[in-house]
Amino acid sequence: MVIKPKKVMGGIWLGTSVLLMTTVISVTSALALLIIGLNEQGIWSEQQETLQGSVQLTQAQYAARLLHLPSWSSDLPADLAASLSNISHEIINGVEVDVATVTVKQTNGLFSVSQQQDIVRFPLLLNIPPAGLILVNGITNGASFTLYLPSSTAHPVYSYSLWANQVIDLSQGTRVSCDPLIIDKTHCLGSVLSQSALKNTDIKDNDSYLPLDALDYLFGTHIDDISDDTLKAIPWQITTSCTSLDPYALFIWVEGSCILSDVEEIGSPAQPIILIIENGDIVLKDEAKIYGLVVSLQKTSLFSQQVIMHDSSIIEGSLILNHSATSNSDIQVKYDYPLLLKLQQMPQLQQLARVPGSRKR
Amino acid sequence: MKIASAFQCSGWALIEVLLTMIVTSATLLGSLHLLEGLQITERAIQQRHEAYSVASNFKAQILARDQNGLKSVDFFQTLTTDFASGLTAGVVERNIGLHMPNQQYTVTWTTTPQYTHEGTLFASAQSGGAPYPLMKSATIGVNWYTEDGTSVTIHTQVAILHPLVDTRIDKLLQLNQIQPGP
Repeated sequence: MVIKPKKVMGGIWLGTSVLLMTTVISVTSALALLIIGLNEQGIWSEQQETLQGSVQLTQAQYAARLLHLPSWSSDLPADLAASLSNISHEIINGVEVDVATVTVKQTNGLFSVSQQQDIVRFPLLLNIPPAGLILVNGITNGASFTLYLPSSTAHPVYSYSLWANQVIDLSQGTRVSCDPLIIDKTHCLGSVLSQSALKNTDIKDNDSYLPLDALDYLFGTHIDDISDDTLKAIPWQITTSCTSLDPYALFIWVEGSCILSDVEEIGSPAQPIILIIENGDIVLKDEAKIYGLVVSLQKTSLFSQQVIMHDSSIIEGSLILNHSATSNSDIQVKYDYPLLLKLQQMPQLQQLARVPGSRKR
Repeated sequence: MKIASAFQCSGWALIEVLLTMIVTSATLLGSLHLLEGLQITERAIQQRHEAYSVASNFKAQILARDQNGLKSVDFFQTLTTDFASGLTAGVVERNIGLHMPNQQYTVTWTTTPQYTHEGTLFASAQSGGAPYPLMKSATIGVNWYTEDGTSVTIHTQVAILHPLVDTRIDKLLQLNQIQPGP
């Protein structure tokens, strides 16, 4: 058989073109696969991110729901109970704190995201006042106080009626501390701890350990590095007087005076409160009572705040003054450590933090 | 055996070359068309991917502003639909590749405050529950126009917590730490 040169040429052309087509198709296919692969990767990462967003949302919802629950170990809603593990009740410096691990797992098609985080719940009130009356800035001459320190409600470590960073002269005005069983001025005079020239160990004055800022001491505002005004974001009620207080509010901030009429009460032995009176007087008329922690806060030094408590009226718990009060002030406080401890442990007065380094995916 | 003439051989070769050129051209054109289509798709997906990146960036900014304890309370309180202290909704421009014009994205968000009472979430404050929301969920929307003028929006979610639910852990070390001196 004789093959003509022209046929050979045709074969070469055909072969070349087939080779060219194969190359073009291969390159195009490779590029197409590369682009499709990259796009798929992008779509998958978007789906993964969407799922992570959903997990973060659920985890935040669980944390918010857990904050004010009375107990983490019983009566939890089913979904919360299923997501909580390693629940423990720890004691740190005598304060009960709750610790747990929150696990959230979600699946969407091929993707599954799981996040774990340890959380700790502890009181908003960082320090329990160790004395019935705490004076951060002394007290004016002439101002009187009667401080009750019954042994049944005493602090387990300290037996102080008064804690001050300045020297307190008990001979100015009527200044007395006592430990009677019955809260009454006559009974008080029958079991005096300190009075006039008799300054007993229950008066802890001239103590440099007392912090100069009451809000730093109580709420650790120096850690947050915030102003007192920023702290106003956390009370349950902000008002200008004590006339219409929310019965559910356990943390109340009054921008003005708090005047309680006869027999009126704020808080109760079962539900003590934190009451901050900013730039205002505290006046408790006959048999009026406040249960819990009262802070008389002076933010404008031009304004003198009076603390006047009529006969049989009393603050059960503790009172902190960051000012020296007026000379006509008459203070009556019964120190009640169990009540303050209860206040510190109230579920509504807790805060929650994430444990650093405990997050797992 | 029949021997083909030179003229006949020449004719067949030309037809072969012609057919080869037609097939090659068709293949090349087809491949180019495919690549062009893929490129358009790739650009569209690139735009979408960038939109997620914009959303993710906003999400990170929101979360970063909410992790400073009570110092973040102002941000938490002011975070409402399309507004937050130090963060504004609006147009964001991104460069998404060489020889491509900058892509504009419009970022918006809606927030939903969530209140709690006895372990349940509510849309409004409940009697006996905290009077302020303990968390806010925000849905971030990023909108852009594709090459053919179609409006596309993607959404992503983020939750921010009230500073009391995400407080500073170092406060724990302050518990009952301040006591009277000896």
